[in-house]
Amino acid sequence: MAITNQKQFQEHGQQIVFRLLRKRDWKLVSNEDRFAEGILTALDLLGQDGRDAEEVRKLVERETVRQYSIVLYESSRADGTSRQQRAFEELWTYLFPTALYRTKDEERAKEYTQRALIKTWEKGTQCTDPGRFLGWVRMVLLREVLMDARKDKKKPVMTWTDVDKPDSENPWEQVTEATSEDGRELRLLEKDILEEEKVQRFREALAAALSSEAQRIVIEGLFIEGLGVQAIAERLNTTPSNVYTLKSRALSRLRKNGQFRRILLELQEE
Amino acid sequence: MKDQIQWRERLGILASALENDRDPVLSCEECQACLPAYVEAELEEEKLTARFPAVWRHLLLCDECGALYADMLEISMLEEAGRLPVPAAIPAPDLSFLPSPTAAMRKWVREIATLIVAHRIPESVAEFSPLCEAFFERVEALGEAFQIHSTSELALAFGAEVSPTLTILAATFDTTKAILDMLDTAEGQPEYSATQLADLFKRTAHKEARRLGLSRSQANTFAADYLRAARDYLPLLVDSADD
Repeated sequence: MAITNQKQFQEHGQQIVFRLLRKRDWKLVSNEDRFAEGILTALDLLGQDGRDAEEVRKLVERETVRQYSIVLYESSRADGTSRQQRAFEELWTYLFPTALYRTKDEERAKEYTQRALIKTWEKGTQCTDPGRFLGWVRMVLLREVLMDARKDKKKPVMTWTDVDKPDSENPWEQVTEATSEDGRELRLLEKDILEEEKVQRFREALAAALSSEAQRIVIEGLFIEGLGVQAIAERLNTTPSNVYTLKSRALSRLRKNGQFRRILLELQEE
Repeated sequence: MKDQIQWRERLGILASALENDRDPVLSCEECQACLPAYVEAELEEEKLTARFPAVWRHLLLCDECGALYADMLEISMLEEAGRLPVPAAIPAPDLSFLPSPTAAMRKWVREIATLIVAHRIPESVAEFSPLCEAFFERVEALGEAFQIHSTSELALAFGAEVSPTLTILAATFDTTKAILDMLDTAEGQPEYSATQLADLFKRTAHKEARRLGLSRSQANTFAADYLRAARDYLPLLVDSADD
């Protein structure tokens, strides 16, 4: 369905805002009509006529999260008020599923979420963009989880299978090498940036140094093509975390390969 | 050249990653400050090397930030696709680390009253902190619901001659308490614009000062002083979405 006029956009957009507020149980907005109006007015400036309804949903939801992040940020700073209490309860509800997803253990999830909330209270002013406060708070939580995992050296890595079946009881497993489904051609690089001959030489050196196609795709995608992790993860049908695992393994192999490093140096100097 | 980061430079970044070089441009702290925006940009399929070249480079060189970023992206992708599992029951948080309403109100009262005293009776600022301590001790002894209705009550309650600084402190205490009682509700907060809220501050301060026995003109002066000193607290009390 396409949104073809302003009235449709207003009505549809308002419903999206209200639905998201209900779904997340976000209650710090006292006047939801005005809150929704502000969001739609901001987006309206971008000219939404003729947009696909699904696209509009994404845009409105993102803007709602941004605007609500500001409300949460300010409420979280209002020391001693009920609003602050409510803000931290909402942050807890927002973070706990992430912690549980990452740890698969309720007690550990509680511990990490609690630590993240305390850090948020202590260091909330370090968040320089209140519109991204929710993203910042989630980063605080994930940093806690990663720091501990690094200490324990037992960070579990999820497979895409787990992600596809979030409710299943699939055990977490160490990913072996992810492989691409078919030997899809890498995106052609723009000729005015790269000389094909050099690219070819680089690819040959990479192929000789790395037997895993997945690792080659990650190195070439990240370093040479400048692709986003999401794009590489989709290409390999794996998770962003696994892309970084593959990157670390590939770099570790390349470090030990004198021939590859020599060719890399030559290509840089040419 | 269409891209911000050229072929030779990209090879250089790969070479640096192989050498385990630290990023000379961006610190981890600086990089992490940008990560929420970077994740959003990636979800919106923006060209990251063009918009965030320094962050892009840092993430390739730094394993810690790279892993953190991948985690953030993964969770955000799942959330956006509605596939982040939500547990049936979420346990209750322990929010005992948050300052209690009493502690927070005292902090506000102390800060606001100090500003007023510094403005009106600057020579008394040095002795104001011990007076605050004694005042709050006495309030605690009398119970948090205690409210002062006149200067004679003030004198009785505090067993001392009522100095101008004590009057300012008592008036600030009563005003702040009254305002917070009116405004501090987590849900269904009364709607006020910043202007309306300023007006409420001023009216409440005037009323409380009059109740303490200050003359009309003294109460007017106190109300103006209170509003000036408490102005920084307005954004904390007003819902930004309503402003």
